[in-house]
Formats: sequence, structure tokens, C-alpha cells
Amino acid sequence: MNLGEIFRSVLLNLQANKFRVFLTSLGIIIGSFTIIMVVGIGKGSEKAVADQYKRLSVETIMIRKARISSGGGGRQLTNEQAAQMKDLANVKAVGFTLGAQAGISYGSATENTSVLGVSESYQQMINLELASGNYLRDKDGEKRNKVALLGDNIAQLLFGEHLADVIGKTVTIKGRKYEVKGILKRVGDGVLGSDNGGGLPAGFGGGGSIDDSVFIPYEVAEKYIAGSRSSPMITVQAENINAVAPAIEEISEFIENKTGDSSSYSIMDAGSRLSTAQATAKTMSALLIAVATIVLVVGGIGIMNVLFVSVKERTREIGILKSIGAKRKDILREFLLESMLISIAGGMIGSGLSLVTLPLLKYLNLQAIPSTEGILLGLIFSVLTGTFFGYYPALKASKLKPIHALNYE
Amino acid sequence: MNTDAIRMNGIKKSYGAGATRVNVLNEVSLKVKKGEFVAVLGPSGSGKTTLMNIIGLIDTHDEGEYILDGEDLESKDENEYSEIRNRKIGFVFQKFNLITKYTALYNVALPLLLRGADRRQAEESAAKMLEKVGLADRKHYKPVELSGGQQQRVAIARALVGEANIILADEPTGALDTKTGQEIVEILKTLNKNGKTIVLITHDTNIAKQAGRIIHVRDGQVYEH
Ligand SMILES: Nc1ncnc2c1ncn2[C@@H]1O[C@H](COP(=O)(O)OP(=O)(O)O)[C@@H](O)[C@H]1O
Ligand SMILES: [Mg+2]
Repeated sequence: MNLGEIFRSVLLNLQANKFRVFLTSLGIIIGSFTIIMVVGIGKGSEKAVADQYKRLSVETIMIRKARISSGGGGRQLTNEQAAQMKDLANVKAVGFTLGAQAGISYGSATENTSVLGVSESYQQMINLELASGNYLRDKDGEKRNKVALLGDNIAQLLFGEHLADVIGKTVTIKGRKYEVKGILKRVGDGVLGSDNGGGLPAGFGGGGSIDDSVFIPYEVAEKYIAGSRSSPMITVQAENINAVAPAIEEISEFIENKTGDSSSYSIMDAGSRLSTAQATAKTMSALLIAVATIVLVVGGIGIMNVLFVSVKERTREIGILKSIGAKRKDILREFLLESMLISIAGGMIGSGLSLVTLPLLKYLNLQAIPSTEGILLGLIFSVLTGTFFGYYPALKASKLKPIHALNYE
Repeated sequence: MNTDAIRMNGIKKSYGAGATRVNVLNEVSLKVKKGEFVAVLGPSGSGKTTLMNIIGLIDTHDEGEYILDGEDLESKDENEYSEIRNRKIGFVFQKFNLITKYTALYNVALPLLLRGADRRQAEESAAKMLEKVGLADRKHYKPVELSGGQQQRVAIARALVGEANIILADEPTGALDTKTGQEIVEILKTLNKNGKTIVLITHDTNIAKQAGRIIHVRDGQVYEH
């Protein structure tokens, strides 16, 4: 029998058992859906990690007061003391950041955004680039000048498309007036809109995108924006990559000397934080893939089950076909094709569902990227499952003896 | 070449094993010439169906020699059996054995489709066959929409469409009333006049008498008288 005819007969049969076919394919739908979601989330979280750290060079070391101080507790490291770390042999620069969510408004336009106090040196560490205006200076901080740099998105939201003469205008942040000192270059990379580009370093108040952030002098943030309980993050830049490890040692010793307890501070370099985060993202992906595989196997067993029922129900038909000359391979192909069609359809429905669902994940604060690879993987796995689990029932059907099949009641 | 259509020598067939073993066919020897119309007559349970299933290659015999249309079947495999069923034998069963989800036309086209014919051709030939058995206007009916006699005529059309020379009919009238049954027998007689070899199984003497030759099956053996 030529494939076209087998195909027709399979379709006829699927049509006659629509609901059962749907139930059968449910396992495959969920399985392929899961795979595509997993790949999307995996890619998304790897990208998120990369984005979070891409602004920080590997020479960066982050120091933060551990949240739970360890009992005996040393004294707090003052910012003046921390600034002295610049004199350590392997340290090139020390920067401070302090952030909070705050409202910013201009005229009738109001936005809630992350406002970050930064020291002059920190701007260079994360490679902030100006579209117009000037950088924040340490002097601004010392004089408590209320000046601000605006990320591209926030500037557009407040002032509209035309940012030409925004410099020098006055915005209100948390009830106080600030002069706009500079507008930052857009960092969003346009892959999926600006939301996914140019993330701020992890552990940095909220960690949003630079495009959505407002930068003010550190001391100003300390005074007007941050709560009394928020502690600054100290960012240290080592002289070069090879100086990172010795710098960490020096810093640890320095803190020990100043506070009597270095263990209440976490000191971590960007490189190892990055690899930790990447490893976490990978573990998560692996876990999800395992789940997806289990779902598919369960779906496959479902197919096998239904196919056995189908073979049983159609035993007489198989007998009739054999009595008029059907060969083993005709019967095998018929049932195998049935199983493959169910799984392909399931895989396509699953892909469709995942394409609809993936973009919704951003509302769960999960970054997920739809990809051709994910969809291919989902489809391939569906078809493999259908073929693998469909083969045995199909083979059994093809091996039925005509006389037994014909006499089957 | 004037070989026999069917030649059997010492065919044995039993079902089951040990204490429950039943010898259904016991040294059956049989010859059917090409173009003959043979009726196989015997009481229920005597082994007629078993004999026919072996002739039609849908069951296998335990011992003995079977030569179909000059070909020894001993060394053949499953695939070749399928091929022979498809090309040389046309079955007509008591219970019609049509596939219920297909139309009459498609049921009749199936033997050709199984050979790899394309559908247009197969359905064209099928339509001609349905015309021959008087069902030109019922082509697109499904079996449930046809009477028993009509279904049996569809089955005959299916047996003929592949141009098989041997028609095996196992109590084709068994599920039909006398008048309809007789119509089926008339069709078979016409086919025989046109050169087909026919083996008709029945337990009805009136039907058997219309054949050219009667073979009796009793206690697992065949007799000519
Ligand atoms: N598959 C089978 N298993 C066991 N016994 C069978 C089987 N098929 C037929 N028989 C037995 O073989 C004998 C002959 O059956 P059958 O050939 O159908 O007779 P008939 O067609 O003459 O009525 C019966 O006794 C029947 O019970
Ligand atoms: Mg019988």
C-alpha cells in the first residue's frame, strides 16, 4: 500500500477517535511544551546572568556587610575606612553604591524607579556612558549637590522623545528637586526590547536596567534616599585579573584589622560570582530538562497504551486486510504513522502553547527567550517519543496471524 | 499450462495440544482443476472452514503437501503468502468481513491499493466490479447502510477486483435468506462460466447440487460421494 493511502486511512481513524487522540496527545503536548519552556527559561536565565555581570569587569570585587552578623560582631567598617583600601597594593579603585526604589517626576509625569547613589569612581567601574551632560563628581557628593544622571528610558518617560535640552532641567525625586546633570547612553541591545539589556550588577539595589535607573551622588543618596538600615555596597577594582586573588586577601586582612571581624563581610569577585550564578542557572536547566523528559516518557507510555487499545479494537480489520493481501509492513506503517501523527500534532500544539506562554513569564520576573532550537528540540523529542513508544504495538499488530485476527471477537 | 488450481496431499491439521488436542483434518487429499466449481459439503464442525482457511493461506497446515496453481508453498514466507492471497485468491466470507468505516467502493478498491495501485485507478476498477454485481448505485454506501445480500455482493466484488482466479466462498449464503442466497449462488455460477475456479463451502445440499462437483467432509476426511 502506498504511503498516501496509509496516511489517509490513519487520518480517517484519528478523526473517528478525536477525543481519545486528544487525550493521548496530551502527554506529548505537555512534554514538548515543557521542553520548549525549559530551553527558553534556561537561555533566559543564562542571558540574565550574563547581562547582570557584563557591566562589571572580572577585576571587580564586591564587598557587602553580611545580613546576619555573626554573634560577636565586629565594628562597622566606615566609608572613610573603606576608601582607604585604595592604597592597598593590588587595588586600583574603590567605589560605593547605595540604592532604593523612589518616585521621580517632571511636570505631570511620574515614574517609580531605582535611584542609585554612586561614587565618582563607580561610574567608571560599570562603564557608564553619557549621551549628553556630565558625570557625577565626588565634589557633588561632598557638597550634597542634588544632581542626577538619567537612564535613557526614564529620561524618555519623563521628557518624551526629545532629550536635546533636558540638561539643567529640574526633576523631583522623593519630594526633593534635583538638577539633571547628564543623560546616559542607551544600553538596551534591542533583542527583546530594552528590558533585557544592560542589567545592573547583581546585589545592587534591585538590579534593574541602566536604562531604567537614576544615578545621584553617593552622599546625597545616603542622606535623602536610602533608609537608615540600608548598607552600602563597596566595589573594589583590582589592578588586573591576576591581582584579584591577592586583592581579596588584602581586603580581608584590612577589614579584619579595622573591624576585628572580617567574617561578617562577604567579599566576592565578579568572576566567581558569575560562575556561581551560571552554574546555578545550568543546574536549574538540567533539572527542568529531567522533568520534561519524565513528562515525555509518561506521554509516550500513554501513546503506547492507547495504541494497544487501538490494535485490539481493530484486530478484525487487521485480519481482513491480511486476508486480502496486506503485508506486515503495511500494518506496521499504519500504526506507526498513527502514533507519529499523534505525537507530531501534540508537539506542534505544545510548541504553539509555549510560544504564547513564554512572553508571559516576564510577569513572573522570569526571563525566557523563545528559540528555534527549543522548538526543534520539542518537536524532535515528540516525534522520537511517538516513534519509540508506537513501534512495539505496531510491531505486534503486524505480526498477528490472519486466522487469529479474523476470528477475534 | 494445465496445472491443477489446488492440489493437496495428506494434509493434517489439529488444534490445541495434549489432552485437549483435536484433529480437525486427517490426511486430506484433494484436487481442484482450473475452472472447476466445487462445493464442499459437510455438517457443522466437520472442518470445512479449517480446510478453506488452509487453501486460502490464512491458516497453516501441520503436515502434508499443498500446491497452489502449480506453486509449492513449502518454502514461502509471510510476505509471499500475502502476495499470493492478494493476486491469486478471492475470499468471500459468511460474515462478509467488510471494513465498516470504509465505503463499498473503498472496500472493493483495497486489494488493488494493497498492491500499490494509486487510488484513482483502484477506485475505477472497483466501480466496474460493483457494477458487475449490480451495485453501481451503492458505491458510496458504508456496509451498515447495505442489506446482507448487498454486503455479500460487495465482498464478491472485492474478491474479483484483483483478478484472482480462485474464489473461495465459505458459506456465503449462510447469513442470507434463501432467495438472496440463491442470487449470490447465481453470481458465482456466472463467474465460473467466465473461467474462475470456485470452491463453495456450504452445509445446504440444495446449494451444493448446483456445483459441478461435490466433496463431502466428514470426520476430518474428504470423500467424493
Ligand atoms: N482456533 C481453533 N481452536 C481450537 N479448535 C478449533 C479452532 N478452529 C476450529 N476448531 C475446531 O475445529 C473443528 C472444525 O471447525 P470448522 O473448520 O470451523 O468447521 P466447519 O466450518 O465445518 O463448521 C471444530 O470442532 C472446531 O471446534
Ligand atoms: Mg465453517
